Amino acid sequence: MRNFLARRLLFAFISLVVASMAVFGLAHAKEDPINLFIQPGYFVSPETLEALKAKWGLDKPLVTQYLTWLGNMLRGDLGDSVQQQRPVTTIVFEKWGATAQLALVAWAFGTFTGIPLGIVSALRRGSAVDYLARAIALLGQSLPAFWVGLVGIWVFAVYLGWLPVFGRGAGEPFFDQVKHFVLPTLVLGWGPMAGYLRITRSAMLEVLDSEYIKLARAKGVSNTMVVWKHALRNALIQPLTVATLLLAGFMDGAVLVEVIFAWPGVGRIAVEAVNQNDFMLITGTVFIFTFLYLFMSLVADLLYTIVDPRIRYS
Amino acid sequence: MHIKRFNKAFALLAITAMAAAAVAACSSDPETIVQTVLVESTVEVQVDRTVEVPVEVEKEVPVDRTVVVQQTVVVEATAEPEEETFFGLPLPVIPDDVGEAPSPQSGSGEVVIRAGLEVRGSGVPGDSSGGMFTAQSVTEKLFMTDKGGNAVGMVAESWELASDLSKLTVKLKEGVQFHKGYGELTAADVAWAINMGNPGRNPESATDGGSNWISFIGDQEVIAVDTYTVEIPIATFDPRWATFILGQSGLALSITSKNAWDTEGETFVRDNVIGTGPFEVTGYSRDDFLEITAVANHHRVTPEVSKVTYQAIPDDAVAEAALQTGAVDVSEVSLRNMTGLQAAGFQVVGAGAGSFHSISFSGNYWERTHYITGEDLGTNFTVRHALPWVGDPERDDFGNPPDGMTNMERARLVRTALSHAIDRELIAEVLFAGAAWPNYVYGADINNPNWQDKWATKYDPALAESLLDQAGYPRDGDGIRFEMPFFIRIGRGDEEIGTAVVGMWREIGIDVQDWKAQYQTYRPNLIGRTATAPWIHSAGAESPQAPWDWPVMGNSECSRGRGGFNIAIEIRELCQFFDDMSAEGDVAARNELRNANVEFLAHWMPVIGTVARPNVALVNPNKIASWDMPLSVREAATHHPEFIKLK
Repeated sequence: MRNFLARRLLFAFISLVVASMAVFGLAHAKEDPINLFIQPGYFVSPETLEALKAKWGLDKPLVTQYLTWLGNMLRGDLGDSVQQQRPVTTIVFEKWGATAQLALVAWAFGTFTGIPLGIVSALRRGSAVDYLARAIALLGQSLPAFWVGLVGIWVFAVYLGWLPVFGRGAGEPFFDQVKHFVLPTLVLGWGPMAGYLRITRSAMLEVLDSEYIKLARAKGVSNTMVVWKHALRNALIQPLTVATLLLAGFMDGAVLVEVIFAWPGVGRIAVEAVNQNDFMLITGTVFIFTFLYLFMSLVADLLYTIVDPRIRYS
Repeated sequence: MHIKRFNKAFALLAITAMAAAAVAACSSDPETIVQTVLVESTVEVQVDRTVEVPVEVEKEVPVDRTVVVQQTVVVEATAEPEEETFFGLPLPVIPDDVGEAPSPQSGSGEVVIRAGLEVRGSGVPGDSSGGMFTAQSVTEKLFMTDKGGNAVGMVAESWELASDLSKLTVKLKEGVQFHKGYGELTAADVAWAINMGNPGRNPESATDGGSNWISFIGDQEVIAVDTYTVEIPIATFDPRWATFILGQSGLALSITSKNAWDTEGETFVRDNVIGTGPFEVTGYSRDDFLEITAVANHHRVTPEVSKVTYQAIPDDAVAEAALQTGAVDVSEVSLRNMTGLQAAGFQVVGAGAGSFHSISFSGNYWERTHYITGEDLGTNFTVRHALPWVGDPERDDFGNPPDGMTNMERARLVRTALSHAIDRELIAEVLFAGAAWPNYVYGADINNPNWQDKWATKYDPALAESLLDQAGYPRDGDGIRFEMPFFIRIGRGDEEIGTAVVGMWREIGIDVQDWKAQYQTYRPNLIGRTATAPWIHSAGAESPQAPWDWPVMGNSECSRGRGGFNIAIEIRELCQFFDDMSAEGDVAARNELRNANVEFLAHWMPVIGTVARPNVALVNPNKIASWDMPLSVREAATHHPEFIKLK
């Protein structure tokens, strides 16, 4: 296990370095970052230009710039946003709470509806419930989130007046805040829920059709024991992988949903950073996203051993 | 009518004189008396403005008396204005059948206004994002405009422009207080703010319109002469100095507290905007919301609204939904949906501003040496092979133009043809529901009284095809004349206009390869002067409502701006027009220069207009009774919430 962890961490570190090179390279390939400091239409003397480059370390060779940047990143210094002139860590963590809240709720919704529905769908294969569940899955995976979001707003907020149009309702009473979560959660969680449903259903069907399940049934083990103890546990490997990576994905910011519902999260600042080529903010946020993703995939690997005792890392 | 009023006035004077004469005649002892009589009279001459002038008239009466009559004469004078005035842009037409707007959700005395993607600001003069807090009247500047666009003092009490136009001395109002107890505004604050924001003195300043600051002040220091007097040196006079450069709706450079900077530091000032406006910040989450609360007993105006919340709602459709549910009281919406929302009971408000949508025929870098330094620009490398829309002033036969035609003339014909192929009326009607209007010449609005119809390139596809034939680009067997890339910037309405233009150009045989992307993807080409693909934008020249005599197009359209943004052309004449107009003190002469400038652009067409549109917002009349805004000299749809009157 120790060897596995060491190997896994090494791979994670290498992945992080490779990702950082890609991010840094792309941010610099798009435009010379010094252009960001030069405002529309005035003459910049070469001396001023050099002074600005020196201040931001842009006068050094690209490799030196990269190594300096990477060193700072690993020490937790993500630099200052060019546009906002504030530390990237401050900007990201200001918005992290809103994103994490929505991510957790949407993840919980997707996970705790998708997996049970997948199980039920598998157990009642060919029934009306199965068809209904599959229809929900089909719609969830095929309807674009922005469309679902806009239609949801017009139906539930404008015409029915049940739910608020935008925002997270910070400062409002608890019940009103809950209302703010309903539409973004449904929009963000529906697609993943459909994914869970399909994956769980197919995994369950595969397991239920396996020899050891048949043996268990032949030995007279109750249906509940067969399903919940023997089949489900073995069928959960795939949904578990999806769940951990999905949580990481949600935590990285649900860009479309945050834009549609004016949700003040990291997804929106990442989009803005790309639009404005704020290379420090881009590299900083992507570095955090990458780290988070690698961390969650490590968590998924470790969880396998708990869910499936057959898996042993050595 | 004028004659009648003049006669009436004359009669009144005559009666007064006769009465005085009669009194004198009836007197038994001839004597000289001095009598003061108040007479109110109206004298009508050619009208420009109305002023009340007390006039002392010494009148000899044909008796032994002298009557001194002190009159208050209302004179409608012919005095020449210092600059051309702003003019009103057309607003969307109100539908006949108007419904009832929803009940607002905001609390009593409070207003919620939708902001776009960014709710962002900074208290550091020179930060690029300072504008929002200025528009919302948290911070103030020396001057502001009134509803007609005239400059009036904001924190300036009085001012004097040196006769040689070398400096501006401004006396500040006394007792103007910064928010949150940071003390009284003094000349030191003003000098500090301008020096911090002027890129000529602070290279790290990223203030909007840095080129104008450099041009106006250069690297000279603004000085606090005494507590309330500030002296602003002028490097190059600019007739827009009060309304545009130092005005509230002009270039974004707010006066914030130097005391806060000195005592709390840069980070604090960046996040905490300490201004002197009628609203102070009481809640702020970057790119989420801004909450501002009215300041009691403000030196200029105490708002009727107690609290205003600016809420970021990036998506237009969601903003419309928020309006319709009463969740927001004010929002900018797509002009195409404006009529429907007006019919639903919402009312249009605006600061009198608009925007141009223009197409640059990129690659027309006609200068060979730098406008300022005279250095070789190395422009030749940019265009290695002849492009139909790009002219080269130094290589007449470049690209083998037809006999007797220069390369420049051929490219001009192509650009003219492309302009004639655009059905601007159709775009305005279909994409903007009639709320926009055609724009033919870059930066010159057809509603301006100085506009001349001869400059318009009206929609005429047959003429366009004929011009292309003349230029030596006939249709080939597939009906194609030549291939042309076209960059269409996503956002601000450029995407839809650009798509329509692509279709119109294809109609005349141009194989247009359109490329839709974020502006940032094209920006490096603009900065590097390597852009040769025509592109549509709403950048560069100032707003449609701007006075005719304002110098525009002097920085982003010639080599002076090298190293910075450019609209993909470099033409020395445009900088020269800018400089000549800036230095010209006489309005008539400036107008003549502007006419010549428009004539030049209408002839050569390095940039053409497509449409111009008003920048307006919708308000919920169940919350807002009126919002009588000062005129915006730039693009703001709304500003100055202190003038909101609640229902």
